Formats: sequence, structure tokens, C-alpha cells
Amino acid sequence: MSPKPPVRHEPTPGPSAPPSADERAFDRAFARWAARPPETPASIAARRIEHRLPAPKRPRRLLPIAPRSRGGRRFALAAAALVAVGLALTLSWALLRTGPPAPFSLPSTPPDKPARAAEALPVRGGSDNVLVIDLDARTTLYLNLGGT
Amino acid sequence: MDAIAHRRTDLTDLAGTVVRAATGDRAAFGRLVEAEWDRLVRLARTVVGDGDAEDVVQEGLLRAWRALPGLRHPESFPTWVARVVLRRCFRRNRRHRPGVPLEAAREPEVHPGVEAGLDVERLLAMLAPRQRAVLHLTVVEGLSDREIGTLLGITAGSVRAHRRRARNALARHQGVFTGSIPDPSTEPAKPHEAAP
Repeated sequence: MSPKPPVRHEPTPGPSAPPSADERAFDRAFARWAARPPETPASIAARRIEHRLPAPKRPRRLLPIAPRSRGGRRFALAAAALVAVGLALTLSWALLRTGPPAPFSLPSTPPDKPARAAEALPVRGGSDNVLVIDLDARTTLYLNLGGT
Repeated sequence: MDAIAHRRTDLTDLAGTVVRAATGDRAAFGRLVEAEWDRLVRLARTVVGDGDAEDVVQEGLLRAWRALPGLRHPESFPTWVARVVLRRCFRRNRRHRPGVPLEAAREPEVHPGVEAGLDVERLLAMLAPRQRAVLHLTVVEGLSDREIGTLLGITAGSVRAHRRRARNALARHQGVFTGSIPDPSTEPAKPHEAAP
């Protein structure tokens, strides 16, 4: 297997040398050849192309292109998504700090007794049909349980 | 780039016409086409030949119409549209490969490509498309290397390299077409080269 020949990089040419006599002769012939008028005159070509132009699909923007404003629909969506992520992060942080909610448990006091002693009615006494309750120091309630 | 724009167009209000065309004004685009048509066809003729030049320019102009709203500097329209057309030319060349084989070029014949004893059209066919474009922009349009580089999307050094290769290739073939250099294939074989 023969070794790969080294890659030769062509040096970047400097300013061009003045053209030789042969090159000048070619340039003159080339310029004359290129100067021939096109077969289709410009005015006819312009009308022909005008008729071939497709209709613009959407209203075109004026040039130069204006910078995008902050009030667009995309911006609103992005802002809403950012706020939602922020709220979710705050909520999870608060839950982590307070710990999980307490599991469900039965009340420690039986249901037939008042849950808080301060709220218990101060029953002074009574009979089978009448219940005497002191609502405060000056008011006494006689509750007839017989219903007659 | 502005220098090219001012040199290339006859429109008095180029930027205004371009902006109107970019907003969908067909008549304004028609005026731009009218101003640029001859120059673009001449450029395309050098790169793809007479047969396809006008078709390629039309394709390029239709593409330019669609892309016009994206043009940021309206005053650079002449350079920009020439670049669009050149891209279409290079693409067409990649598809069709219209190079003329040297054997065919050796047959003497008279056609419109012959200028002052030089068969320009056949000489150009010996060059790569990009070399043809560089030569046209240098010789016919008189652009500087930097301007040509801007138009073709290459550096000024690359422009000089393309031109130098084109000149070398022309120097190799020019004599064959003018008859000043003997064609090696028709030369009588020297005694020491003759087959045993």
C-alpha cells in the first residue's frame, strides 16, 4: 500500500497580475460576446413574469422586520407556564416544611359527651320531666322534657 | 454592496420600489425585473449557455419574488437578485452538466460564439461554472474581487484563485481554438515515441 501523498494547499493568490496580451484579447472577445442583447426584451419579460407571480399567501410585513413585541400570544403562554411552575414549586416546598397531613383518627372523647368541657351545659339538677340549667349567674332555664 | 446597487440599476427610487414589491405590489416588481433583466440574462448566459439562460433567470426571479419580504436591505436588491439567479444557474449546471467535450470543440465551425477568431462560447464551456461566473463579473461587469466575493459568498482570495485557474485553463485551450497552438492529438508522432 503506497503512502498517501501529502495534501498540497494552494496559497491564497495575492493581487492579480495585469492581464497578458492573450488574456486581453480574450477579454475583448468575451465582452463583445456577452454584450449581445437577450432574445426577449426586458419590457416583455417583465410583463410575462408579472403574470406568473403567485399571489402572496399572507399579508406581507413591511421592511425592515420589526422586533417582536412582548404582548404576543406566545409570550402570554410562556408567562402563564412560568407562573404555574413557580406556584407548584412553592406549594411543594410548603408541604415539605409542614409535613404530610395527619392520618384520619377517631375523636378521643366519646360522642355522647361534649368534646370540650367549657361548652358543656351547666346542668344544676331537675327531675324526670324538668331539667334545670344555669345559663349564667342570673338566668336559670327550666327545660320541660315531658312536652305537655 | 451599496456601490454595486447604485452602479447596477436605472431605477431612481430603488429602495422604495423594492419595499413596495415586498408588500405584494406586482407592478413594482415588474419595474425591478425590467431594470435587471438584461444584466441577469447576460450573466446566466455565461454560466448556463444561451439555451437555458432566460428560463433560469425567470425561475430565479420567481424565487426572488417569494423571498423578497425577507430582504433586509432593499438597496442591495441588485446584488441579492444576482445571487439568487446564480444559485439557480449552479443548480441547473449540476443537473444538466452542459460541458462541451474538447473533441467536439476541435471541429471548426462558424456560429455566434465566434468573436475575433476566438470561439468564446466553447472556451467558456471548458471552465467550471463558478470560474465562468467570476470571469463574467470581472470582465463584463467590472466588479472588484471583494464585490464578486460578496455576490458569490466567497472570499476575495478565492475569487482570485478561481480567476487564475480560469485564465490558466483558457491559456491551455485558447491556442487550439485560434490555431496558434498545434493540436497534440493531430501532431505526427515523434520517432522515439512511435510504437514498437
